[in-house]
Amino acid sequence: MIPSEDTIYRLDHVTRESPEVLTLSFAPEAGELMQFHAGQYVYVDMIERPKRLPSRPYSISSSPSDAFVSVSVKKLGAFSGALHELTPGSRVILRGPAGNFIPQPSMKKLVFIAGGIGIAPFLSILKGFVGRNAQDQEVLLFYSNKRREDIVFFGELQGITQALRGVRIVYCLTQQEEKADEAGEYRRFDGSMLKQYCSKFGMQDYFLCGSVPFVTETSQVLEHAGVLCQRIHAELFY
Amino acid sequence: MDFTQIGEVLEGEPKYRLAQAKRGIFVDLVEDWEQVTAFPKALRARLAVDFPLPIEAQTFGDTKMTAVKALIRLSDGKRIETVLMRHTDGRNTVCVSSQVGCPMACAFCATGKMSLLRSLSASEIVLQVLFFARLLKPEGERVSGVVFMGMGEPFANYDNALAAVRMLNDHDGLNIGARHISISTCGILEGIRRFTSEALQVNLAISLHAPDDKTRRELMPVARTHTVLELLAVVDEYIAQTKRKVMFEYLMIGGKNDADEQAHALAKLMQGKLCMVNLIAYNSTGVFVPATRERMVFFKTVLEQAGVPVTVRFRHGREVKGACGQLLTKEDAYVLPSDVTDAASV
Repeated sequence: MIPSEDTIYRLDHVTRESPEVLTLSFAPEAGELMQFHAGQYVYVDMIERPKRLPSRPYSISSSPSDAFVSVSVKKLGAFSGALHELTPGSRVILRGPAGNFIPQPSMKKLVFIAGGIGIAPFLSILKGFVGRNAQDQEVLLFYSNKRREDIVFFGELQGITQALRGVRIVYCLTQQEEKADEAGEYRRFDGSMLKQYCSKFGMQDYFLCGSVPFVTETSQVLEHAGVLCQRIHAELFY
Repeated sequence: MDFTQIGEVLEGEPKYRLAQAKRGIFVDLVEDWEQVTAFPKALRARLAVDFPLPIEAQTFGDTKMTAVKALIRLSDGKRIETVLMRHTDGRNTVCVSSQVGCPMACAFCATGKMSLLRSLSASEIVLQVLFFARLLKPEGERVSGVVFMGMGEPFANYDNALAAVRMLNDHDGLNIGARHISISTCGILEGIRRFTSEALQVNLAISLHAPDDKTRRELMPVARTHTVLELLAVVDEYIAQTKRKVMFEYLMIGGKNDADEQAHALAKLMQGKLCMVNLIAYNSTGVFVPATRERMVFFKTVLEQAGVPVTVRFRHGREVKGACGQLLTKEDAYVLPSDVTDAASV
């Protein structure tokens, strides 16, 4: 277990992923970058704000081997709105790492199911696989969004599928009109999709990340299909 | 009312004014600055504008006034519910909310059906206790304990919940003993780990509600992030570090978590642990039905035979709709906190 600690970090740079999502990359003010497992999260505490907001947890979207600790933040409320206003050089406390949303090395056949910005920890995990050149790792990622423009990290994800032959991505768009020349699904993840994509694949461990309703519904789909609850691992964004 | 701002409001005044103001608010429980006669008239008039003391609330009491619910209106117009439980032994416990709504969406909880609107500040949590402290003052009574079992998940608002605990515990303030404050969590593991490292004697309560993963996952989305055994391992670490007894709450729902094998599984999990189990009568919401009294007695017997300390909560506050997030107020379709019930043996 990597010990959790509070360290002051400075915002190094900001990457706009979509109109609503920014990736904030932090470097420690002094000392080493924190060690973490791909899939874990950190608490972000904006210490420079005149009116302090309570810290909030964010999944790390960078890889453990990257030079920064990055979080990808969708603008949803007061805290994420304030994070979006940070400028390079801003100081924050990153407390962590925390969480056990970590695929074990023995899990060679994985299904990842991401709802919206719930893609963040999966990006970290997949980049970790690329870093290790894990060609024997089989991953099927269902990435669900309402509309095409909500998809973030598209370029990076496509790069990952090219780097690792065992990684396959199914984009699910739940509120988008179907386009004949585009691959993907135009519906929610459901039992038939699970059967269509997973039954031949012999997938064994399922990782789910997203909002509470998304994870609850998706988890129920898996359970109804007979997946053992010990094989279902979840991270909730709340 | 933001208690952290009082220092700023008094800027330019002699330093001792801050202590006088705090004493007025939290010890003398004044509702009007005019009652703080140590202050010059001009200062009282200024504070009445810059730091008004009234708390806008509606109260609803049961016929015996053993439970009083208050619907408090916050500065942004949102409402929160808080309940005072008046125990026969003289204790007065306030059940506070930590968020407006709740993100955790437990299946049995009506608060969970409204999503999270926002988290409360530490002052807004303390305000709920202050309201009842004022209400009790004319009787010469005080708030003796606080439980974080109202709307919201305290560990999803960790910093503010803990800041509120420190304010409540302040010897120069409301002076509520840490041992008389309890925080209840649905099982946010990182929150429990952080709580373990706090140098506080505050009690920890865990909403368990099922001894097996399958049932717990059906009842509580958060249970999809960990197994019961992983949760208990973190709680064991808390017990080992703090040497404090943990309360496990078990809402008894008919046909869901009240079977014989679940009683035995619960007893097995709890055996030998520094803990007590609180069996809570469930108030029907239409989704689930309460377990029968016989099932509750059976669970109590099984736990006792296993040497596990157990209490059964009788309903308390039902007339004021003070039950487990199941309470819809007539206005705004807002819902109430946790099962506001009294601890007592069957």
